[in-house]
Amino acid sequence: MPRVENEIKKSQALWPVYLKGVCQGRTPYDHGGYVNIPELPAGAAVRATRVADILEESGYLRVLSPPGGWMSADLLEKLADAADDLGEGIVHFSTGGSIELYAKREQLVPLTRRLNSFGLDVGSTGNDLRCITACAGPLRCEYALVDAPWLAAFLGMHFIDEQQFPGYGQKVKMGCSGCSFDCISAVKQKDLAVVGVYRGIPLVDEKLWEEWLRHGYSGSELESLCQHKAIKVEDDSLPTIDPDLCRSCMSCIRACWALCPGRERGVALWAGGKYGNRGRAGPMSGVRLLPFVPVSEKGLAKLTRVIEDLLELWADNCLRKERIGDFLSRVGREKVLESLGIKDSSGSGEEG
Amino acid sequence: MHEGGGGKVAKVKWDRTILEERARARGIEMTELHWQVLEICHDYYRKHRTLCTLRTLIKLSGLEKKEIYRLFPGNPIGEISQITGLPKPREC
Repeated sequence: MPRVENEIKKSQALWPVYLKGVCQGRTPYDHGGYVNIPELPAGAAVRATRVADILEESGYLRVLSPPGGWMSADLLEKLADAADDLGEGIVHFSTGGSIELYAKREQLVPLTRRLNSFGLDVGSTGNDLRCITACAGPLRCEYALVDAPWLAAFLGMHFIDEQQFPGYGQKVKMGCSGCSFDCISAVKQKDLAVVGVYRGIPLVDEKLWEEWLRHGYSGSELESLCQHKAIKVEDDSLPTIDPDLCRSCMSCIRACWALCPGRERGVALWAGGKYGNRGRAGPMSGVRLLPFVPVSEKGLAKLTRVIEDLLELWADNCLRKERIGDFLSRVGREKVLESLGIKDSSGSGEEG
Repeated sequence: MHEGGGGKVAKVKWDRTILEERARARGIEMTELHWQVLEICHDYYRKHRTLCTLRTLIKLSGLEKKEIYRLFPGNPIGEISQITGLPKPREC
């Protein structure tokens, strides 16, 4: 496995700074980050260092990475060439889904132009909509109910100005998950989470159910798996699922191959998740605002309109540096739904 | 640029030459649209004793966010604050 010091050593600009920091036992960087580069309202940052004799500042570009993390080797090669030619020869894949290319301040704009030439763009810094992340999607995952990378690309194009021109009071993170398993923790981590869901209850295949039982599993085992007590199986007959209790968590579907998600697929919108400790309530999970929106032209129009309205409502009424989660917790979910004109038909909506 | 006290600030005319020089030093060539935006900012300052946020400026001016970024590139409210000397809003 590549060691971080071996990778950084290749970049002559960053290695001595890193080394100095490690030797001193404290960060080599100073306060501050985002800088004002007229051509780039978002996507560029320059960090000042405390070791000006080695390096005064370290600049980087934040690239809006392809949704789902899918990238052709050809594009990756072009990115590597750009990082070598115009940057410091080092690339950082950030935890937020974006790619950071380190470069000198004067190279940030030429590097952006180079990235633009092969279809990549920068953004995702400051008080704007950050890079929209997505899970791997149906290309690799058998549970995907919707094409999350496609959805992230669609939302990314729709909200491109929000990603590149900061204009809010605080950052907004968005993620798309293909199903309720939510492998990218969008509900818990992102201010806005679009999660693949199905309407109704799981479907049961009679033949597969018998086969499943022949493999030594039992109906009571399936019953105990459902944390919402929605499944009832009497004497290993076909399971019955209570639609009022079923929360579409898909635990039963993962455990038993005789069950499959309902045929009507769509997405749910959650808002307010965040990992950060900043804010009154600290880290928090999101709350569901829209229980089901079909992935159709009309459905997506509704989804984007609700997101736009929510962002407007939050931006107009938030306190200083208040994330959407803190805003929702202060104002109340019901009040926000009322302001957005959404009739809540999903019960408590606290769990998905 | 302004005078008076006790919460009331009298409106005075911009010293355009100084402001134009400051803007030019920051790479901005002032046009009539720039002046309109600055007037809106100053009107807001007279009432609230601070510069408005970008969102408020968008609403007051009726201009699109991208247009304001085109007029004052990089950080519009920061640029306006640097050119006019008006204090930035607390939110920034």
